[in-house]
Amino acid sequence: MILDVFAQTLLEYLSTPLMWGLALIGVGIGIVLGALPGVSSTMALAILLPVSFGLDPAAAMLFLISVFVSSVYGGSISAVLVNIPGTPGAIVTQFDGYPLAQQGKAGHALAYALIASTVGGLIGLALLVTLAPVVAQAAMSFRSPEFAMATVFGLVLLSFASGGSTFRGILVAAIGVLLGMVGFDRLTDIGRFDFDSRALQAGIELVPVTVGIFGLAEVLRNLAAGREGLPRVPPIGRLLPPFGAVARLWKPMLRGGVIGTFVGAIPAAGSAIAVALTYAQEKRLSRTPETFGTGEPAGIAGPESANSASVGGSLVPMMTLGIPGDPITAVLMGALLIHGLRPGPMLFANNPGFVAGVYVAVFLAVILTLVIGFGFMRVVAQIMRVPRVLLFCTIALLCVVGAYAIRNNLIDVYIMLFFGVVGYLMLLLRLPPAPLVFGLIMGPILEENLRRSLILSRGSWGVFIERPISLALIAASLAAVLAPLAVLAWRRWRAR
Amino acid sequence: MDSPRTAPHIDLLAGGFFLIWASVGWLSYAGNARLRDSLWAGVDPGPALVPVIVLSLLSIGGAFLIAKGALRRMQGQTGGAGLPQTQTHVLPLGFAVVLLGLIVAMPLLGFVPVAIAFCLFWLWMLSPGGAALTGWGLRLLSAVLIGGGIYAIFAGFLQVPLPG
Repeated sequence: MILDVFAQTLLEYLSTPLMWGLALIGVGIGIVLGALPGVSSTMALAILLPVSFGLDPAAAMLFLISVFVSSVYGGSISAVLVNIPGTPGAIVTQFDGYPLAQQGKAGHALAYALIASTVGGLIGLALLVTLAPVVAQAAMSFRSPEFAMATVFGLVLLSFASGGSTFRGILVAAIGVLLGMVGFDRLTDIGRFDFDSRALQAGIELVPVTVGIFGLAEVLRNLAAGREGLPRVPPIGRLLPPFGAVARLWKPMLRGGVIGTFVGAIPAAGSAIAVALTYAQEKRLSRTPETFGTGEPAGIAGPESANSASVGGSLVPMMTLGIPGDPITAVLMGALLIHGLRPGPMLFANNPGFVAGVYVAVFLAVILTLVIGFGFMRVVAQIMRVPRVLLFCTIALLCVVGAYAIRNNLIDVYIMLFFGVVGYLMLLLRLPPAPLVFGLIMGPILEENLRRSLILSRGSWGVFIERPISLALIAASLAAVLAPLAVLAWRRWRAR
Repeated sequence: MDSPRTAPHIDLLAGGFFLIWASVGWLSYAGNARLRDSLWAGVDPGPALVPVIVLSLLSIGGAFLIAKGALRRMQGQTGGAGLPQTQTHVLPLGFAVVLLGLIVAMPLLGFVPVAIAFCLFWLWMLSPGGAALTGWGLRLLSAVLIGGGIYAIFAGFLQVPLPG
């Protein structure tokens, strides 16, 4: 059944030039942006989000998922060539990729990474296709109290995972929730936080905030860091390693793929944790652990498989529960909301064709990344030599145009600039900016379900603890907040 | 409640940051009689419920951070992470100000000329002698390609009515 719908949608996409054209362009842009240090996958998606406005939801998701999947591989290119991971998921690829490049085998290292990314991406997709409907089916029993508490749980977990203290992350998320309430309340038509300004009465759009926080703020941070150029990009050398050397890596790739998918599916765990776990696992299982860090192919293949597989995993909570697992899926969820689609179990019931489209998008992106990756690896290495100032100017202008494009309104561009500066300020104050976007996305969902629950329970807050799943989610949220404190208290007690 | 990984002055500044947001929110809430009166006015807890919860959280959290920073400062503690190491704040500030100028000038002069001027300025500013893009011809070509390219994609392909 699933395979039938999948094959049908795939054929449909392949017979539509716009669709495969979008996938090709998305993959090309994603690899290049992922390869450029200073441009994260989140930033790439945020600045390209406005490009998807004019497309129908399926085409928009195909384009954005293509950028997402390919930028994850792109991140490994800079890790291998210049020892700077382009994305968090490539953080351990440099341990063995860069030494291989130093030995004149950069092409081999990139090929190991690319093949492993393909294998991992397909494992992630297989588990996404298998797991997502099961989770969605289980989530069908969710009602407003469960959705409200699932949103709280998601916000707490994402704040926990955003770096820095969970407490500050929650406060930043609270600002996002507040921003989501600006404008007229949908139920009562009462204005909130609009200061009688017509511009604010229409509410604060997600895109200007996202583009400002993830796009412009990162440019400002890069300018402040004052990195004028990258280290010299070494020659790629021979591209294809011996077949036997690749074939020997099937176990690390498989293990990495499975670990990556399951870790990716845990909201807020993210690809960085998946690759770290995989690297440690491969080193532990290796007969020659001492070779890790000196150019060991398994040290590239396992983590690369894991970071690509985590893409499929991270889509599980986003698609089935409406909880974005990380900043990248938060931007993807924002794209869905902009197109009038709310992720969650009902998406599977009401829009199975769209869900199949997401599966096909991941599949196409994985395969095209392999093709374009091999075909244009040398070109991408050349692009990495482009002066960074060109990149900064391009991103800044894309932020301006992207913010303008949502409503053809300059107010949104000013809002984007404001949040770009706020995002930079937050980086200086060591506050994680990502929870602000999570709060903005999930705040309205939280409020709607919270109020609906209280209306149905005639104002009784007991409704949230009377239902077992809701109670479990409250307990899990409290545990996520209190666990770091317990660890801290334990360490202090031990130190005494 | 909060790990002491940041320096006391960062705690103070972060607390102030949250309190500013909370103050703006409370100010708007206090001046909005309809919103205030809606709280638990009927079966629906009303559109004021979540704002009150969130503003309270921000106020308490901000005050806690300030108290924590002040207490640690009084105790003479200086440990923890301070401001991130940066070479300059002038460049990002200048970049934001010039971008503001671009937004103001865009409806008057049109997107393409303003975008080209923006790129030219920063290609000149950020390409000091000896670095890449030193020639004005190359800078102009790059600026035209960036500005024109973005205009072509958004105005041409995506039908966004960009000014000019």
